[in-house]
Amino acid sequence: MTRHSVAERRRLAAVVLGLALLASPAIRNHDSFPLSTYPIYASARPREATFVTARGERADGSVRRLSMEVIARTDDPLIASSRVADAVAGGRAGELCAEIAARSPQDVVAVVVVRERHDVVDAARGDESLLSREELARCWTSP
Amino acid sequence: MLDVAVIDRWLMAPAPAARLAVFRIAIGVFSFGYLVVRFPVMWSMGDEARVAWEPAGVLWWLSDPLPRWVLHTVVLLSIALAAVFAAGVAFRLIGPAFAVALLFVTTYRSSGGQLLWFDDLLVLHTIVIGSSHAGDALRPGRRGRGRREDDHARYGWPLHIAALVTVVTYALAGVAKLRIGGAGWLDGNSLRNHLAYSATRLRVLGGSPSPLAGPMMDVGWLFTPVAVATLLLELGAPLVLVAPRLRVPWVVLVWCMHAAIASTMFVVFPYPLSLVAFAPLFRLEQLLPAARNEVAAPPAAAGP
Repeated sequence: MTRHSVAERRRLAAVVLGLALLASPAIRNHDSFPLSTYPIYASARPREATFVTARGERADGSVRRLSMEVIARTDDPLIASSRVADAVAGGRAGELCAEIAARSPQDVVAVVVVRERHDVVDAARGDESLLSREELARCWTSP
Repeated sequence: MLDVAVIDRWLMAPAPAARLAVFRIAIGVFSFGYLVVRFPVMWSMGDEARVAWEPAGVLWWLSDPLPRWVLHTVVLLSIALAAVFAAGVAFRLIGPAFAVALLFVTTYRSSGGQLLWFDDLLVLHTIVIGSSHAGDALRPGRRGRGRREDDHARYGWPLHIAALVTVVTYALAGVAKLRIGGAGWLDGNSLRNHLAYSATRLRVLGGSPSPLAGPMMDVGWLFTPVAVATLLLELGAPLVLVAPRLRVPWVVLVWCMHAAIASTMFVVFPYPLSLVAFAPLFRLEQLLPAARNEVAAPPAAAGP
């Protein structure tokens, strides 16, 4: 074997190792960063979906829509949905509710953390889409 | 059978120092702009104690979130390093340093309970280019040498690896759709539901969905061909390495795919949308006809 071919084989081994590293999350089915399985939009998503979110209530009982910044202190819906879903899954719905209440606008007197099921196609059209709603936590803002 | 010599010829094919330098500048300028535009988000890192802290990647060992002052320091350092990375100054030191800083900042941001896929390719490219001789040309103090005979394998392999990383990541995205979604992903309903899901998620979380999302629900016939085309684009990505004629149409179509995602779902992948992600597939030095003659000779110590 020539010296040159040894170098070639070493470089090839490095490339193969690099490719194996890139593909390792897919092989192990374990997503990470920056080596990923790239699962975004990869699921066969059904038409109905469940969301955890929060909404405000005014003194007259009317619903006050809360911003993403108030709900989850982010402008990224991926992070926002993850934060509220993780908090509820971790049994911290009440704690989340209190945090949101502390950030809520002045006309909000109560915050409700809810789990809602929607027909997402109807929701995207702007039509009535709510299939079910479950109240997970309720808290009041400071006067 | 694997032809070692053919693969090695591809990997070690020489390239001009200017081509690698232009890619370095593109990554540095993009990163600087990205970190500055997203500065409020980066600056707010450090509140993870209140949410599920799930250290990802190279931060797997970090059991607790870091103090804010540490994060603020690294964010500011990353922005400064991005600028120096683009300039190419002291690249042997700055290249790896910026790669590590960007890896840290983006990994930390993905450790707040939700992995983010927007920065993967940028970070991988930065690691490859930061580890190369990308600072040998187009940097202050290296002008006017006038040498054109600077094509060398050391300027070629980082670009070839970066191009390989680009196409492999797209191919993996295609594999994920087949593995996770299966054949059901191709019937179009799944893609339509993804779009609708993004719009609904924005609506229920207090955001505003794209005005295009609603009308798109009424053109359901469109989603099956778009789903098939998406899968073909992703799985077929490696072909552009062996068929250069496919590069421009592939990049145009992939860019259109990202533009469609951004305009209908408000989910923005800035790195591919900026086109920097695809830059290593092209002869970037042609963007700099005047600068081409100013490429400096590499230092003797950097020889093969």
